[in-house]
Amino acid sequence: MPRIADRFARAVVGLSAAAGVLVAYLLALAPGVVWSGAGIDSGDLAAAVAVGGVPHPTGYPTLMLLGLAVRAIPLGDLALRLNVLTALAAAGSLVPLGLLAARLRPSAGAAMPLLEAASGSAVLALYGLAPLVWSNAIVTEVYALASLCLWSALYTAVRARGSLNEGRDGRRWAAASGLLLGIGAGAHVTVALAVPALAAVLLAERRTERAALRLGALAAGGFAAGCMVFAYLPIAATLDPPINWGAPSTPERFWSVVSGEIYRSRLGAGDIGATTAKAAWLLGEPVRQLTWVLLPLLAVGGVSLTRRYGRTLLATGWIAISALAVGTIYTSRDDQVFTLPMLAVAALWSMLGVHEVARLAAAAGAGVHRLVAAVLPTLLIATALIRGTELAPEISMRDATHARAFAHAVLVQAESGSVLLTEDDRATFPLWYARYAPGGRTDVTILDLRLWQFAWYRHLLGRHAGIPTAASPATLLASGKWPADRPLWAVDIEVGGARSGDVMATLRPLSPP
Amino acid sequence: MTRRLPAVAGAALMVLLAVAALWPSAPPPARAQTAPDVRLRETAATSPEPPAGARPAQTLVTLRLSSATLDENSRALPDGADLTLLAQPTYVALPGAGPNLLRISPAITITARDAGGRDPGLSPAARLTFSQPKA
Repeated sequence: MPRIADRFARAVVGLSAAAGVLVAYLLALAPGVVWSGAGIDSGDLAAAVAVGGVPHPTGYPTLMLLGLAVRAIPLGDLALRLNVLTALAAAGSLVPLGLLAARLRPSAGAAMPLLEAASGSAVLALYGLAPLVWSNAIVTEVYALASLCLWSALYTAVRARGSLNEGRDGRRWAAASGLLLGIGAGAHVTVALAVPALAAVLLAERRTERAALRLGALAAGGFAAGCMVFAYLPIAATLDPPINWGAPSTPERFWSVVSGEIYRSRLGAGDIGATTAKAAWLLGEPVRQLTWVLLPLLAVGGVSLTRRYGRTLLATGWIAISALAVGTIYTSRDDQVFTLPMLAVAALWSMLGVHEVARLAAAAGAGVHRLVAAVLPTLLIATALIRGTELAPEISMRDATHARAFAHAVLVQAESGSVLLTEDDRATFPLWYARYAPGGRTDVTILDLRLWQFAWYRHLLGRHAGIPTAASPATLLASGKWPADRPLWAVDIEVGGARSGDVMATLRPLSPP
Repeated sequence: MTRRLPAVAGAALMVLLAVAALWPSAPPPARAQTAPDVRLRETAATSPEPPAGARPAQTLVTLRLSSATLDENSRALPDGADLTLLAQPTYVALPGAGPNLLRISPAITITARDAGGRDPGLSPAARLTFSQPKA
C-alpha cells in the first residue's frame, strides 16, 4: 500500500482538503455584498473597510486590518475582494486542523498510508462543505478568519508542548500560539474563550512544570501582543470615518464596542425551556452538518484522544462546549454560527477516528486492513462529493445580486442631496456600501432610524452630512425646520421568497416637493 | 472497568449526539438584527404619511428576469409605469409597473432604449426605459 512520509502527510491532508473546498467556495462566491443569511452584515463590514471605519460591535479589527490591505489591491469590486479573502481564510482554516490530526494520530511519526490520508482529507472536506461552514466562507464575514486563527493557535500550542516533551525548545511555538489567539480575538472575541484550552495543552504535565510555566508565560505575552490589533479601533475612530459604530476613541466607548454592550440584552434572553430545547438542537449540529457517516468516527476519535492526549481532549472539549454555550445563551439572527468551533472539533475527532480505525484494522489482520483501507476512503470521498454536489445549488451565492441591485436602484432614484431613512439591516448595509464604496453618491445620506438613539450616531451625521441633530427628522419635518435642500425619503423594504428572496422596496417621500 | 470507561464514554457521546441530531424542531430564528432594534419614542413617528400634495411613492422591485413569472409581490404594483434596468442584466426594477408587464417569460422579448432610442449599454447609473413588444 503506498505511503506518504510523515512530514509530507501532515501537510498533505489539510492542504488537499483546503484546495478542494476552495474551488467549491470560489464557484459559489457572492459577487458583492448580500443580504441573505450568513452575509447580511457584509455590507456593513465592506463599507467599514471602504472608509477605514469601525463596523458594528465588536469592531472586528483583524478583519478591518486585513481588509485595508485588500483595499489597496486595485482589482475589481472591493466587496468581491473581501469575499475572496473570506474564502481563502475558510479554506486555510482546514490546514491547521489537518496538521493537528496528523500530529495526534496513533502512528504519528510513521509514514501515512495514502488511502488513510485520503480519508482524513475527505473528513476535512466534509467539514469545509458543511452548510454552516460553506455559507460563511463565500461572503465577507468574520467567522472563517476566527476559525483560521483559533486552530492555528491550538496547533502551535500542541507543537510547543510536543517540542518540550521531546526535550527541544518550544518557546517560539508557544509565543506564536498566544499571538495567533490574540489576533483571533480580534477576528471575533469569542476566540478568546479558548485561552483555557491553550493553557490545558501548554501546562500539560507536572514533570516539566517550570518549563511549561515558561511556555505559558510566553503564550500569554504572545496573546497580549496579538490583542494589539484592537488598537485599530481607537485609531480609526479618532480619524472620524463616516462608518464609526460607537466611536470608540475613549476608554469607555472602546470597552462598550469590544464588549458588545448594545447586544448584551441578547444574552440569556430565552426562558429555561426554550434555552434547553435550543441547546439540544445545537448539540445535534455536528451530525446534521457533517453527516451521520462521521458520527462513529467522531466517537472513536474522542476515545483515541482519551487514551493518549487527555489534555488535548480537554482542550478541544472545552472549545466545543464553550461554543455550544455561546450559541445557546446568545439570541440573534445568526446565533447558530457560534457553534462553528464545535463542528471543527467534531471534524478533528473524526479525523482521529479515521486513523484509529486504520490502526485497529491493521492490528486485526491483513484481510480486515485491506477491506477497511478500501471501504473507508471510498465511503468518505463519495459522501463528500455527493454532499458538495447536493448542497451547491442551495448554498451558492453566485447569483446573489439582490442587495447590490437594490442599492443601485435606490441611489439611482434618489434626488440630489437626499436623506434616505432606513430601519432594516437589509436596507442600511447595502446602501452604506453603495454610498461609501468608490464611485458612490456622495451627495446622499443614509440615516438608520434605529441608530438615531445613539449620540455618537447623531454627532456623526451632523459632522459628515450636515444633518440637524437638535431633534429627530420627524420632529423637524413636522415643525417645518427640516432643511429644504435635503429631500427626505423613507426606504421601506420587504423581502420574501424561500432564500434571500426578491425584494419590494418603496421610496416614500416624506418632505413636500 | 476503568479501562473500558473511554469506550463507554465514546458510546454515550455517540448516542447523545444521535439523539440531539434527531431533535424534532429547530429553534425559531431570532429576528434580532445587527443594528439594535429598539427605537426611541421620539423617532418612532419618523415615517409619517406623505403630506398633502407630496410626490407619489416610487416602488422599486428587483426581480429575477430569468424567472418564468415574477414574484407575487409585484402583483401589488399599480399600472402604467415604465421598467427601469439596473446595473445587473439579470435584474429589473419596476417603478410601479403595470400587471401586463409583470409576466415576463422567455417568450417575451424585452428591449432597452435610452431617450434617443439607442441601445444604451448597462451602466450602473443608467436609467433605461423598457417597452414590451407586442406578442
